Amino acid sequence: MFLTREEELMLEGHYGEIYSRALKVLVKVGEALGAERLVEVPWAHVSGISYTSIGDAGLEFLEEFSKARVKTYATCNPAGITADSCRELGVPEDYVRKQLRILRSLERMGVKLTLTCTPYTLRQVRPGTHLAWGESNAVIYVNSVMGGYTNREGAPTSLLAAITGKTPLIGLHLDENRRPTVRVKLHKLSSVNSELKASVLGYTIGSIVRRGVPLIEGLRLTRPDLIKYMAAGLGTSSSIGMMIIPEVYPLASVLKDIRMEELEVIEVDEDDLRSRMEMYSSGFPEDSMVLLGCPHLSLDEIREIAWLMEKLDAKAKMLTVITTGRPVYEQAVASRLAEFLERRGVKLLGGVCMVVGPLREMGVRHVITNSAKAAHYIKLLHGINVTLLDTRDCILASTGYLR
Amino acid sequence: MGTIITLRGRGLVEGVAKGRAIVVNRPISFLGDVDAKRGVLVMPGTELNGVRIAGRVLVAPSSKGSTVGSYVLYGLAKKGLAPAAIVMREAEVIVIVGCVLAGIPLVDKLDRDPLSLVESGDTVLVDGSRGIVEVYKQCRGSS
Repeated sequence: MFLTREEELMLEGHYGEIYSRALKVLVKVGEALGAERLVEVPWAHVSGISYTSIGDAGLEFLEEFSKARVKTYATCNPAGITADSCRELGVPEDYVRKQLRILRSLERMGVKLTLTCTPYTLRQVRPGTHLAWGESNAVIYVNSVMGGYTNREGAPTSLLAAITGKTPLIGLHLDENRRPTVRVKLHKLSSVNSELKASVLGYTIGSIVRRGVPLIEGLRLTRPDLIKYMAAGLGTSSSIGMMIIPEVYPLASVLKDIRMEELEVIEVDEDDLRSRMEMYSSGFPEDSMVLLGCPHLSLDEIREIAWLMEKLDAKAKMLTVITTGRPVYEQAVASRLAEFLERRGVKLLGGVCMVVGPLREMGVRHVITNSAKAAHYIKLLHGINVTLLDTRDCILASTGYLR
Repeated sequence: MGTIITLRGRGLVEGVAKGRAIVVNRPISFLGDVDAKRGVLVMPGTELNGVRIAGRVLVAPSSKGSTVGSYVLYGLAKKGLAPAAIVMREAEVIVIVGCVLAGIPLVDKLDRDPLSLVESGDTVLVDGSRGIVEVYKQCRGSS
């Protein structure tokens, strides 16, 4: 693989041992996968920072590598829990201590503790910009909606890219791999009008297509921001890193060179969605946790939930947790939205992802959510049953209007 | 007396190591299939369940699952519980990252299939720098 003079120096240890080891991993990965060279990334998004996900091995790794500082703008995914949210939720002290050690390591390295799975809301990305992002929902969103160029980085490689500012030039960094590989036709599908439906649609497409770059035809979304739910669902059931929705993709001009008739066609209809929904329908037991915010909520979505509670003039009867990234959380606190929700019995958590949180330790027995991604992983990782409902019904269940 | 079979492939992570083989016949997820605290396989219902991988040469088709699996290999190495070397049909990112971080020799894409030639218990020498795997076969009974 071709290395620049600066990369050679880094590999030889001129910038210190950590940079040398970090770059060595990326070079080995690049060589194994046939990369011609590395590419510089102005932004790395680090995933794998929840203690639930990475355990003691990940914690030790982060502490060892935190002797180095990141060479690029670096943000990070949410944690299992944060200091200000753990007490009332009954999280064991040992867990909290280890999670905080992870966060301190990241901070020492210069990673911004944005603690969000929707980093694409933090800054603009110019189409064609190379990135090294972990977190599949964010990867699919930034590739498909903003025209960023990133692979689905894993926990270690996203961190090593942050440290070195580089990633191997392979996969979705190359135009030839960003062309559609399969056509997904939705013509028998009514319009996608809820977070739930968008999320299940993505999940369904992923479980049928599995890999490559699906071209989505005939998609009718009632609100453009529903795409984030679709991206999250898609990443959950597949290894897909981008989709092309011609009306949305900023680099859609690539489509004019594609021989559409040569691509495989897959049709997805309401029945396909229904059968996935039925996998997550275990009722509304009273000791459920109602969870909204996978992917993390925007300020508008949080307002929407508050407004719904106000309209119902009701208080949550079930444990009701809604999650967002750190920057939005701070705005919600400043505008007293968090306080308002608290009075209605809704717990707004900033910088936290419940899917990789200590659910068992908190005594959660059942979950109600609007997100296929949350449903899939909560069942898989924690063995907890989940019911999928749309956002409004989640709130109705929480307040006891739905039984 | 025994025979030595030499396989040639791609040396991905350098280093030379020798150990008894442990053969896993399906893609391995280091997060889930391995107990990170004790360095043993967690494969309920198979004869591999509870088998130690420390100091052994792990042979498998590939790796799969969470990318946190790389951290598991690194954590095992820090505790002295990591495999001596890993041989795969085709290595992917999780195992490459883990082996580089942990300093475990790794070889893949061999000229003959290691899963059909190597049996658990065979002594195997892995040269990750040159991409060579030597399998020491003991003669058995009359055959």
